[in-house]
Amino acid sequence: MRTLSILGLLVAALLVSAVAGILVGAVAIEPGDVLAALLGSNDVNGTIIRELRLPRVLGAALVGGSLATAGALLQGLLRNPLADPFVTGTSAGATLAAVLAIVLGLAAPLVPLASFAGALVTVTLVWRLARLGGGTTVLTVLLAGVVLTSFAGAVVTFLLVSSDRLALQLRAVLGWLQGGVSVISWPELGVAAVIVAVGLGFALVLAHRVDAYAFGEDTAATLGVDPDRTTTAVLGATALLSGAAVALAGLVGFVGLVVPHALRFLIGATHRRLVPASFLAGAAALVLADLGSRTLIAPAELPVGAITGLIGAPFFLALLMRSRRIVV
Amino acid sequence: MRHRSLVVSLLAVLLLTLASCGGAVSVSPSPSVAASPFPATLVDFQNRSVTVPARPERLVSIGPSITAFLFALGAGPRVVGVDDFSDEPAEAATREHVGGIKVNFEKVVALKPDLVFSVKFSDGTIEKLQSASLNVLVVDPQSVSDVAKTATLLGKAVGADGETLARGIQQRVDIIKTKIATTTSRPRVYHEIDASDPAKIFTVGPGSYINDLIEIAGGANVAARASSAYPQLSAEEILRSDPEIIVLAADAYSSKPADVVARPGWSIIAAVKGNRIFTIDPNLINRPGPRVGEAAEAYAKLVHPELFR
Amino acid sequence: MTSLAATAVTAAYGPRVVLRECSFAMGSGEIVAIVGPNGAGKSTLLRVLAGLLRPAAGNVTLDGRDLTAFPRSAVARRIAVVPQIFDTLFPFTVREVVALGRTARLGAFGRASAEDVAAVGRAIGDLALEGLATRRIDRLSGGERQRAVLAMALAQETDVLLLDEPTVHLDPGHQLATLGLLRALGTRRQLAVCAVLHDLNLASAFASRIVVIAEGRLVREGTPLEVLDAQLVEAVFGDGLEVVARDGRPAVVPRVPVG
Repeated sequence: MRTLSILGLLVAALLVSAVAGILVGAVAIEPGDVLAALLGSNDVNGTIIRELRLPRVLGAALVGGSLATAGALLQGLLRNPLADPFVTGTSAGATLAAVLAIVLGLAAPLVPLASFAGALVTVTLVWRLARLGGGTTVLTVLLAGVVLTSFAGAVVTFLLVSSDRLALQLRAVLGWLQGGVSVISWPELGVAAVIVAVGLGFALVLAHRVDAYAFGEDTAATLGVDPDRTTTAVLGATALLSGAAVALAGLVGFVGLVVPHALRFLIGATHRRLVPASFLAGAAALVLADLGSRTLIAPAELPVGAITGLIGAPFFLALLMRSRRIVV
Repeated sequence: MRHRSLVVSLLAVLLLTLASCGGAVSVSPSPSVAASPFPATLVDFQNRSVTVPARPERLVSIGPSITAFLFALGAGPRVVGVDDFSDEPAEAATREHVGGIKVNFEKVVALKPDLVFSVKFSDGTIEKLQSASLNVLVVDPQSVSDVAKTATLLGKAVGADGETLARGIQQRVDIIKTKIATTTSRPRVYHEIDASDPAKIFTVGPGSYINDLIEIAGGANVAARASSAYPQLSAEEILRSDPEIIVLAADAYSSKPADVVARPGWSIIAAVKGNRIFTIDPNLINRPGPRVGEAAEAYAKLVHPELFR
Repeated sequence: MTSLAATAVTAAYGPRVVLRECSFAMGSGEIVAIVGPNGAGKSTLLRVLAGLLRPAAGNVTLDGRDLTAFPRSAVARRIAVVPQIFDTLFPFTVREVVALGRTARLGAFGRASAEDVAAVGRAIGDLALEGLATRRIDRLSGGERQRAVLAMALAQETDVLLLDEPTVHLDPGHQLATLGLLRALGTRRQLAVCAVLHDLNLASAFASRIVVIAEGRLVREGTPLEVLDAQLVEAVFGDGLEVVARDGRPAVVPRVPVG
């Protein structure tokens, strides 16, 4: 079946990217040594590969996959190809919640939970706003995103300036805000992986029902989908995925927008295929972007959010220009 | 008629003599008369020529190590304004504050200083102070030997004996150097400036004061071949360099030893395995001031405890 | 034989009451047209019949059972609604759109059974969409898209088919074709068809029964001949229209202007 071969191709792409990501780093390590390291060698190289590079690559994969899947879900729900966690302000809301959690002194493992809560509140707000007009228009979603992102940004800035606790970690918080998958410990990765797995599970189960929203909520209902329950579940899955992504890597934009959109033209619009494909392609994309962030201006690092922005923003503009037919 | 021309010529001679006396830059002292070192023309750390016309009575100091020096030189009573971070000696903090990272120009001008000492600024602060017709001397020691030079320069600027202070500093450092020379062991040292962003860890490199301290203390800075004074390292590079000693500043902005130990992958570093992660008084390592001899000793004790019981 | 009945239905959007005590019933093989002036409440009645809007008073029963007792997916297996909006920005193919009609019957993860595939095939055949099946729906004409969503509703394989103004964007030729198709399908599949129509003549030509709604009340229902008389037309739609007989069916035409 075509679906399987596409998914197979994407899995292969992800593996290739991951291998590239592990082979390249600040310290040059021979491929033979890399293999030995993965098999458990005890030397410095082993530690570098297993404790620094591998978690980073896996983290990038989780973040990219989550954001792309969340984007696919939001686009289907809002009937709008321009929706994604970043554009709709969901990521910004998650970020604000995470920063608040840090300011209030919450323990580190609780920060992803705060992030998820922030994402949930924001995505629900966006959904409500989008429905007010009796339908979702491009303008409403974009405006909602702009307003929420600006508001979250303003509050974060205020907190950065006024909180002593944050001042101590100022550079770290700023770096995180620019989007980066730098140092992830295995326990952190484990918690995030669980959250992502739950969100992805929901997404896969709900995928075919998201298709039913193609002609609006009423039609989804007449096609047999319980709009309230399904909408809540989809929003919840989106919040889990974007919350986990933000907790791991801060603000990484455009992955959720560009990946599902590009895939749609390659494999069609049905979410049954789009959701798993988005996860795999998004994972591969961010692993490659992280690779770029480590190598483009070596030895310094570019924040990954800068790379996704550099590539994603022109793509987004091109989309807008092509979407002349969208009623704004 | 002849009287008048005699008086005029006498007057002319007198005037000429006075003029030639006034133009002298320095007057060689005769043993029975106390030397007047002013007016003095000095070259500061930015290679600017600064003239101090008379013994300055009102001093403003922007830089905690400069303040420490001024007080050590006995010029404390003449200091009328200091920056927010000047707290050595404790008395210094009681003077008027003229700003921290950003200098409050109005306050400086209001204090009517005869001489302003300042650390280097790259944001036009020095130029702004000068445009307010203030006499500014920039002091920017980057190494331990610079610190000795600072003592001499400041001494000349305020009319105090900087030489003695400079010699004292140099002697203390020389003692350390002699002891270090008795061994060829140079343990690898990693001095962490800022790891608040784990993707961008800052350490010290060639040209920085702390790098100098490490060398004097008989250590080998793992970043000694970096390309700048405050280079960024990745965790991978630090792991690979396997430092035997890790030094952190004991202030709120730096990591604690327990944090360093917990970083993923760092447990294989010799310094972590050997439990040689130390904290040091931030005032000693951040301020190239009169306590530099003490700083070098403190660092040397960490690196070569066997030589400094 | 399926029956869908509204009994004394009163419906409101918040404080605004839109329908008052409307009652009527329909069954398999019938084509019912709901007509009335703008804002009379026709679409609201249709939404209540579809189970999309809960009546404030009265009820809707399907084969005697209250509609609110059915879960959404069960309703979708008995009642299909052809959507009014069929614009989408996503590149669904026609076949994928028609397949949406099977949503209520798919297995876990949306797996389609052989029966689902067959139903989609039948719907595509009934609407002569074979040639367009693999084309992207956002690239088709309005008429073609409407056929696609009609096929989607048919693929649901329900007993009841509801439509809200299915001909409003079509030219007269296509209007006739669509309604003719509906009548044929209704007969062939024994559907109970109910459509909101704004064109009285189309209603007269195609419907077996007409329901007239004015200001939220059901004013009259019956065969076209029973319903469309000059008195009613004038009362509901104002003067300026007159009713003429044609081939045994009434036709409503504008009065020839004086002078």
